[in-house]
Amino acid sequence: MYTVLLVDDEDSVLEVLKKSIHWQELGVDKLLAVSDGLTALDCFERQHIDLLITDIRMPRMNGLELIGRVRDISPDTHTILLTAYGEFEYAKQAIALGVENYLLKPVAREEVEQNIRNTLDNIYRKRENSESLLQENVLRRWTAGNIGDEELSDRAAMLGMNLYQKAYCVVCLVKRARGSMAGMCSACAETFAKEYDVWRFWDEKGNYVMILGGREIDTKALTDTLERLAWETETEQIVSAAIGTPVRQALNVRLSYQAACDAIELVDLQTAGVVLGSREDVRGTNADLLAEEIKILFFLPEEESRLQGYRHLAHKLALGTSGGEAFARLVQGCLYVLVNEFPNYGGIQEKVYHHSVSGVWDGEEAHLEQAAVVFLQKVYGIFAECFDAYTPIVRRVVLYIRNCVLGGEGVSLKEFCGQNGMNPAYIGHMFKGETGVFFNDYLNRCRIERAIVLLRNPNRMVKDIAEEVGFTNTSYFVKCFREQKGISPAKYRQELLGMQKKGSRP
Amino acid sequence: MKKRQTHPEQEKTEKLGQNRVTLALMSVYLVIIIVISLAASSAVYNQRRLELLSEMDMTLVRAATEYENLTENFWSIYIPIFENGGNGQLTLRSYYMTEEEKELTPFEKFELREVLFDMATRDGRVQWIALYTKKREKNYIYYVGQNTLQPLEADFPYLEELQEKQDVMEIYGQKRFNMVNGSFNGIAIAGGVPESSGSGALLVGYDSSELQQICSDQQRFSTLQFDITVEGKSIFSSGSEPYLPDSSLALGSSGVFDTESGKRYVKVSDQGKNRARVYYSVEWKELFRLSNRNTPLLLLLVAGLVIFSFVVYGMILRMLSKEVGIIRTGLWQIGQKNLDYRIEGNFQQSGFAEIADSINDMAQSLKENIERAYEYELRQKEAEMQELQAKFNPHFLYNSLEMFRARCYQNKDEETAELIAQTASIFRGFLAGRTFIPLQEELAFNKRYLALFHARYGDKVEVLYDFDTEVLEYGIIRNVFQPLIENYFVHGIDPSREDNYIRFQGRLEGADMILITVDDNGTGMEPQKLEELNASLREQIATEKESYGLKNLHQRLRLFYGEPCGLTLCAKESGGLVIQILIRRKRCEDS
Repeated sequence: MYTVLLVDDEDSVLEVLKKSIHWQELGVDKLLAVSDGLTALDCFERQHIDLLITDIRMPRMNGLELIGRVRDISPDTHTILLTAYGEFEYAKQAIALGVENYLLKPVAREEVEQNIRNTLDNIYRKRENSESLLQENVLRRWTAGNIGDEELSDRAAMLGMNLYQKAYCVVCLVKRARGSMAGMCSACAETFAKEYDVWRFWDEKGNYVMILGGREIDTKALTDTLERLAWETETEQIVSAAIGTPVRQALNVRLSYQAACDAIELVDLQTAGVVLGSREDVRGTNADLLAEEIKILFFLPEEESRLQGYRHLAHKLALGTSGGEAFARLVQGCLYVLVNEFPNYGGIQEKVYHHSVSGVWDGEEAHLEQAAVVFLQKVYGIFAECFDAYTPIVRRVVLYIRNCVLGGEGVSLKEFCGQNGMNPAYIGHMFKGETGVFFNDYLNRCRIERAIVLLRNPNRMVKDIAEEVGFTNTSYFVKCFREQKGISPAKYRQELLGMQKKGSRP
Repeated sequence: MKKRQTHPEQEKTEKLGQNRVTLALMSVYLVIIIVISLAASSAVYNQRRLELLSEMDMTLVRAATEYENLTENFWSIYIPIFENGGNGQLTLRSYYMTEEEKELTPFEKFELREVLFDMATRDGRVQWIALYTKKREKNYIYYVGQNTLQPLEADFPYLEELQEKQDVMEIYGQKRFNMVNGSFNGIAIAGGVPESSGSGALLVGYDSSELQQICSDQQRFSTLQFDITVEGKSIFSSGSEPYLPDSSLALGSSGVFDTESGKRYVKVSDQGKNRARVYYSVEWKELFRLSNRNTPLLLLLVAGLVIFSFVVYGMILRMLSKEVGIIRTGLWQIGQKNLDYRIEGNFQQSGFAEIADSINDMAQSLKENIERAYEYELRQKEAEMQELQAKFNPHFLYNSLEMFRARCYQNKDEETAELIAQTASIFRGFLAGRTFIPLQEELAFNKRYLALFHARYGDKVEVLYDFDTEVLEYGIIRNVFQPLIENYFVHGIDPSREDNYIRFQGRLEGADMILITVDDNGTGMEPQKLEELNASLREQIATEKESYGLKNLHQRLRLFYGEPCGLTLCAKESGGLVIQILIRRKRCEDS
């Protein structure tokens, strides 16, 4: 569990920081607040502080000086600056001090929260402070889609990133066998830099991510270049590359990244080539619904009802498109569920492809239903294995969240902890540590996934759905939905219904 | 004010001559000319008169001297004959003493003739000598020319005077009588006879032609006449009628007297023995006329001078008014805010060229000043903004807003809290201290601004960018995109469509320029209106209302970057508007 120190000479600011952030869910048990730099420095003498959030202008010692001192006393303390000073000089100093971010007051709650989450994530992942930390944070959040347009523009200006290119595309390099991929990474960065603006970082899944920005992005040319470079650096057997779909808006880079990640996550890396083919139907309403159905089945406690569900699902699949495609969709849906649910669990693809897919289906249309059921049973095995890897308390939290969302009930970590007599900060910390996701993020994801299912009913209003899945504020629901799915619930529903019509015609 | 707006050509009727000052000057000039010419004529007149009078005075002196000689000579010939012991005395004594009724004997005649001859030879002017005594029946006259002694006829003109003669010497005026060899015209002087020599008179006739000759020397005057009078009786007159002034004439006096035929000028000689007065008289008119002989010429000259000066003046005036007209036209043009107008022309008047030059300079500097003032005003506005920013502590504002936001959270009003955060970031864009900012910052602000519209139009409009990264190294003046965005959302967007877009592009252009293009697929603009708008961009801002929007943007760009930077609007073939912004490459560190 972590300790956070807030420093600001304005009490109300401290108050808001304390109250508006769900610190405990983030795994923070100790929240200290002082009003000047020297007092803050005293705190460091008494205890270890994981995160320091400080203003610049304060009595006795200013924020930048404080950070400078803290760097000596406690090098692994992460820092966020929260100040009214927009001057570039301060920002430059702050970056040199290796701050996580430089936030300008008054700052939107969401921006603060996203930054705190990101910083805590860095702490969970034991990332070290460095001068490039701010840029990496921005790039990570840019690709993850949890940075506001406003903040992104500001930070881009600070970091000299061009967010006003005509097209962007994400290329991810992933290691699929033993060996060094460093040569390939630097070769790619160098080559692409000749033609595009390139920003690169390592994401939490161990992918080497390159964001390309330029006037025209031709995926065919990128493919050729990547293949040539792999051959030149003799890494064809070690590295795979995924090219995301080119996008026109800087803010949509996350879609490109997602596509690239999907390509990596949903294929069998063992058998894949250098450049992974991206599949159009990986995302989208169809796949979402399938994944949601699979997930619901996997979370069913009784084996009998699960089996019944498998059969039903298999039957539905067989009714639709041709057998090969249907089975592929099922495999991908399962992979999607597993990768999403257990991001910290490695080697899921390998398990799915080598232990579940192989030999399940002989290609006969008639045997498809049977094969699908067997496959689902096998994947459930992996799912259960992953789930059982959690400590019992985390499992209980996960189930609590899912049941509440399904039942349309309110979810509260505090309530849960109160019922079970546990420390919320401890639970928050455990949850994030094991699942890799913050409690609240997981909750929201569940809510959105539930909402997708509810959206199938054209008679239900978005407002009601938001309420049912537990959002008090419809616009917040729409915002979260957009963040995860890239479009608004209303549009999503249009696509969903259009697809259903198409599907029901033949 | 109204007059100002009429063109000076229409006012040409208003001549310079009507200028009061000019009129006064001309009158004064005329008066001076007249006074000077009068003084000159008077001087010339006096000079001339003096000349004429002195000429006549000379003649008068000569005439008087002649007359005096005449009378002096009489004594010189008269006295000796009566001197004792001479032949003459005896002869004459016998003549005057003897009472005789008979004629003289030839011998007596001969003797007498001899005596008289002697007498006459002493003075060449003597024409005749008459002897008269009451004792004789017959008296005689000796004609010098013929050397004959003739009996005195009864028609002898001086007979009467001789008979009445009382004094020793009497002078008689000229009378005409026929002598043997012609008529006599002269004066006669009678002298008495000493008592010892009897009684009677001796009368000598003198030729007055000499005197006449002297008097007629003066040909200049037709009415000039010399007169000699003795006790009011005319002795000699060179004129046809003797002129006898009423009043007595003092010696050496002069004056003007009225006569029947008009005024006469009279001058009396200061020589006047024996109560004689020698004087001349001339008609005043003639004297005046002749004295003024040079005056007409003078006046003519003056008149010529006046006419000449008027002609010259008029010519100068015409030239002046022509050149003044050019200058006035220029001033009028400049007055009509046509500050590019320049006065051209080859000015004869040396000062005018300089005036025209200085007016041109003035117009130039006026233009520059207006531009400078305009520029100053813009700068002033920026300065005011900066001052406001300086006075206004942004740190304080943002901290306060943060506090408000905190309160809102405490009161569970999250929406207001978020609004405050948004407002603050807009403020941050507006209030940042600099006017020249990195393009990146301007674009970020632009994005923020677009977000406001995006909230209204949602998915109906897409914002596209296409900026080369090199372009972002440079700076730009603040708030360039804002008017364009406003323009698009007010005029350009087609709300009935779902696929609206506005696109911002940035490219390096030429060697030192950046071309920023903002285009859309909106409703666009009529070609004519577009042209008008393009033209109006380049005009100066005249009203407060105009000072916003595209025109202001163009002027700000022009002001900051100079020619040829600024806005250009063009239509897109596929509909929609293309706005091109040309700026110079300028880094923030440079400024």
